[in-house]
Amino acid sequence: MTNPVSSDVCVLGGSAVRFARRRDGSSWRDWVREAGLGAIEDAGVEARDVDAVVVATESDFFSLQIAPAPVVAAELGLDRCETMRAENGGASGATAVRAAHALVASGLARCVLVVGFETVASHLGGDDVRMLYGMSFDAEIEGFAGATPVALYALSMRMHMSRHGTTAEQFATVAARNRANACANPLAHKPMRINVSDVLASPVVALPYRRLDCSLLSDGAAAVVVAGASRAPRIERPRVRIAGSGAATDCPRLGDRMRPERFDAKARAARDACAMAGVRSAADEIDCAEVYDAFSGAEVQALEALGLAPEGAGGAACEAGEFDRDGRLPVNLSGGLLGQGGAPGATGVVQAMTVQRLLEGRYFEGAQPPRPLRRGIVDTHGGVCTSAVVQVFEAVE
Amino acid sequence: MRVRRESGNPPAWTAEQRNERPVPANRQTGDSNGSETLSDARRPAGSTIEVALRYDHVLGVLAPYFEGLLAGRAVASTCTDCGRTWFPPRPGCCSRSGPVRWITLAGTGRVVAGTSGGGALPFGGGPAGKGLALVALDGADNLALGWVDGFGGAPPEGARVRLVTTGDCAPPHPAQAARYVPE
Repeated sequence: MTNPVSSDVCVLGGSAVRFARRRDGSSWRDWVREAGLGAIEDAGVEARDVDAVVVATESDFFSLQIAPAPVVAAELGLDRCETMRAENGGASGATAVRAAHALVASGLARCVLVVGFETVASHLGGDDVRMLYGMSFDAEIEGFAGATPVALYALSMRMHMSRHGTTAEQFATVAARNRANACANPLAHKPMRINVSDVLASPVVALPYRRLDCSLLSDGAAAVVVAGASRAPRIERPRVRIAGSGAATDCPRLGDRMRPERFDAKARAARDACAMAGVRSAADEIDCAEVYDAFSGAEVQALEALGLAPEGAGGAACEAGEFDRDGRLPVNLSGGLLGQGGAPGATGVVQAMTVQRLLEGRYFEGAQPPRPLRRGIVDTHGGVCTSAVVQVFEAVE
Repeated sequence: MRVRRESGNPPAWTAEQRNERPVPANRQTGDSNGSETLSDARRPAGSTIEVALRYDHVLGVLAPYFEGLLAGRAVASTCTDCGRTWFPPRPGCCSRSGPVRWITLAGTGRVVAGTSGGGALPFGGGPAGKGLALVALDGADNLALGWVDGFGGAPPEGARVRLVTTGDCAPPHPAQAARYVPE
């Protein structure tokens, strides 16, 4: 895809609340206000500059709020703005950032506040959450039959292991690395120092996945400000522009795909995002990535689809430390969903904030690599990579 | 929708309600995309409400498939344009998708990938199977997801299985009748 949109759209700033099981008496209204106002401040713009609000949240079942966008805008004192809601499963937050990108690039808006939130950890019982998430695939045929996200991801990974020889030990390194990365992230839900043996000794959930291969469900909220570069305040740091954006969809049922072990939608989205950004070889030209790691093996599948590892070689590359903080291409320095936590509506938004700050060189101490970073990938999907959104961010002086 | 407010505001709560109320297993709080639960369910300031939905689900275009499942028959769709056969069916299987022709497959097939099952089915459907698999049914161009019993856990890749009927024990929703046993 050629680049039909302005290359001058930037992520000016962002903010997030800590991902956690929130049992402190606060509600999602508190979280979106904290994140939204924090993003406006971090971006160096004024609330009156914002002319559109895009809100991402995966399911009304979790918040019991249908049409949340106007309510979020009102909480932020932005009720005069255009509002819309983005919903795309686990990719909801990234879809909202993509919508903001499109609004600004098209001239329909000048300065967009993207707010993502989810109340998935503390409001419903575990069985209720599992049943609802079973309906996020093909509800009638598979969700009603009792399929769960972990079971579907497990089946996809089994086929990856069968085809490529990927091992549980290899993707256990992802579980250990991302949780260790989260130790430097004060927003993280579950920072842990564990090793491969700990992962392999944890209880089986759905083979090949064990408890520590599974990401967390978190309450959380995040926000970023997307605007044209001319809106950027005069501050001494690089601007981060959205250099490329791609989105694609696959069959919602694994069994209808030609290659159920491969994340084809992500590969197509990444190809389009990289083409728009002028990136010819992601493995050589990308400096960092926030990758959707709902399960440890899913990160291996994602790295291959993104072109950051050759097909079938993602597990070995993870095991070799290529994606460690001091590796050739650090991945999930935030901790990812495994360490930072997963609040679906907020996930793509907090990923955008993370990569923006990494490229600006001001991410959390201990997580920011010492070398300068120029380009980063933001990668999110919904379903078992049914709906994929991939964005390439680039620092410009 | 029926909404029942169970508790009042925090000041009216008793210590038992706030901190020590036993939490039934099916109300424990989910912590993970796995199945971790938390028994330490201290309540935040707020109210616990129950929302019950009665949903009249209509089978629509998928009725032949679901009715077949209840009878232990694998009713698949064949695209009259591209000729591919799908189980589960795909009424719109390709961009040129023509009318669907319904056919009944033998109901036998091969496990392509399996994982461990367990847990409970939604809507009070009882225990799930011991294993869950993607099955390549003979005559179908896609893979079907279904519960597989008889292997004591994850069914092995390559195992031959057959679709079975749930008999007189109709599940809450016909989707739950997608069950297989060794051939």
